[in-house]
Amino acid sequence: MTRYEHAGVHPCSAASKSAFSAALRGIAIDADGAILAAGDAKVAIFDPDGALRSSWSTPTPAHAIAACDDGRIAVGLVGGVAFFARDGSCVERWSDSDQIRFPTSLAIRGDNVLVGDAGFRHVRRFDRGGRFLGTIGMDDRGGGFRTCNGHLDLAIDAEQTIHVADPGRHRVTRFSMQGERLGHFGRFDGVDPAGFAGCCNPTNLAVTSRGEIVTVSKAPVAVKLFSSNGSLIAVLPSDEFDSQCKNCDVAVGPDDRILVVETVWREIHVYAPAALAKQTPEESR
Amino acid sequence: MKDDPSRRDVLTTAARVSALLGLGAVGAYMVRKTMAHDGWQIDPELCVNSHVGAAELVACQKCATTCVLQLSAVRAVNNHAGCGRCYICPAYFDVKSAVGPDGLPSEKACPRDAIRRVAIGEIDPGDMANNYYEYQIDEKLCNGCGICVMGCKEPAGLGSIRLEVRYDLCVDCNRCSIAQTCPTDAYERIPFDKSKPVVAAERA
Ligand code: SF4
Ligand code: SF4
Ligand code: SF4
Repeated sequence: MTRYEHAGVHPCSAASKSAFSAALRGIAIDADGAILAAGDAKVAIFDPDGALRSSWSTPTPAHAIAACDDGRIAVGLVGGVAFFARDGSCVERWSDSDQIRFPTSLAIRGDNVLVGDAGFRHVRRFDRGGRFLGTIGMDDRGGGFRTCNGHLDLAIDAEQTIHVADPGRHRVTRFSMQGERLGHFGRFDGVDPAGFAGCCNPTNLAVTSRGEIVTVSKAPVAVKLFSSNGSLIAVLPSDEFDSQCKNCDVAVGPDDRILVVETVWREIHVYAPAALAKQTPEESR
Repeated sequence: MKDDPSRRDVLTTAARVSALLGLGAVGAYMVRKTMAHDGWQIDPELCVNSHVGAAELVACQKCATTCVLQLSAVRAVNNHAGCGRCYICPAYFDVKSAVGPDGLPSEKACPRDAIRRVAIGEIDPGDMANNYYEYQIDEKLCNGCGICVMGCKEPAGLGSIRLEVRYDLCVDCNRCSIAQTCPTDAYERIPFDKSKPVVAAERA
């Protein structure tokens, strides 16, 4: 079990330098540890140490981001997904609002592009060419995920299992890549930290290389680490998050650092495995 | 020769006069109410209970406690179109109370039990978290205390509940006592033609 420490605000996002003036909505970390960020109507890429590599405008507000294996960057826009080369040129665009309405999360693995679509309230699976392969999460009597916050987040682990945050049911639900339900963990509890508090939590999640699940809840922000079988391992400190934060995206790097977006101040908070914490630059707003 | 009026005659006449005066006062009030072009309403952006970003964690209950009426003219109104129909509504439940055997919070938020929670649509009895719920406010019970409004506010909820002055209940005091005490000057006079359709639409 890894012990995490809050290692401060990532230097790429300290308020004085924040690349985003109104909204920082999605983050991802590529295989080299570069931080990809989507917000405003913009994408920004940062070196692992925080230096801005590049940024460019998107045609409409950017809601989600993911790294492709071939180096391209997928960005969720209302009504579609755009693929950018690292120089910011748009190399491909899927824009069919019958297929994609409001993508608030993206995950790409092999030939699969998964879109967490808060408009449809389920996950939509495509191949790399944009061919629609099916829906995930529509097979129960509830008719899709309970995304009361207008946000649907998902992550894929090393075993190709899909984890989806189902905030209205206070659960994390798992699926195979073909959409078969593999089970869920989580329950409502406003007292016991092993449960998810409030109306609709968790809103966001990510998976570590060891298969642990990091969840983020809102009102107030709570960052929790669960084992792969759904047992609570730790509640990570989140006192520095503004109480108005919601839908705080989370990403895990190749070194298992956890990054969580502070949506009010548009910062990225870093949680580092204890062994790495001392190497992480600390900065405060 | 006319007899002196009896005690009964005097009392009957007095009763008629006061009834007429009473009717006159009611009539004058009705005329004033009918002729009025504006009335008190609450600006949800200013009300402590609905203003997003207000740091207060305790609801301002002045609308319930300072109206001249015994049961305030203010009511909570749920805009159903904006409601998430959540399984666990933080306006309905005290979400910090212990979880009961049914997996739900054991206590309700409303001190007057004025909110009804009704599962809607095709009901899944096997997994109640699969259902949508409508939260209906009983206007006979609600006193406008604002606790549910504070509970529903973003980011905890979707902010679909707000307080409204009910024009059919408000006696339109010359100096509205709530407006006098409202800590954020959320009370304002607004024209009826602007305000009435809002209330009507949301109650439909
Ligand atoms: S007195 Fe003012 S702030 Fe308090 S509940 Fe009424 S409108 Fe809101
Ligand atoms: S305003 Fe107060 S009394 Fe009315 S429904 Fe809400 S909590 Fe209950
Ligand atoms: S005008 Fe009078 S009756 Fe109407 S809300 Fe104010 S105090 Fe209550």
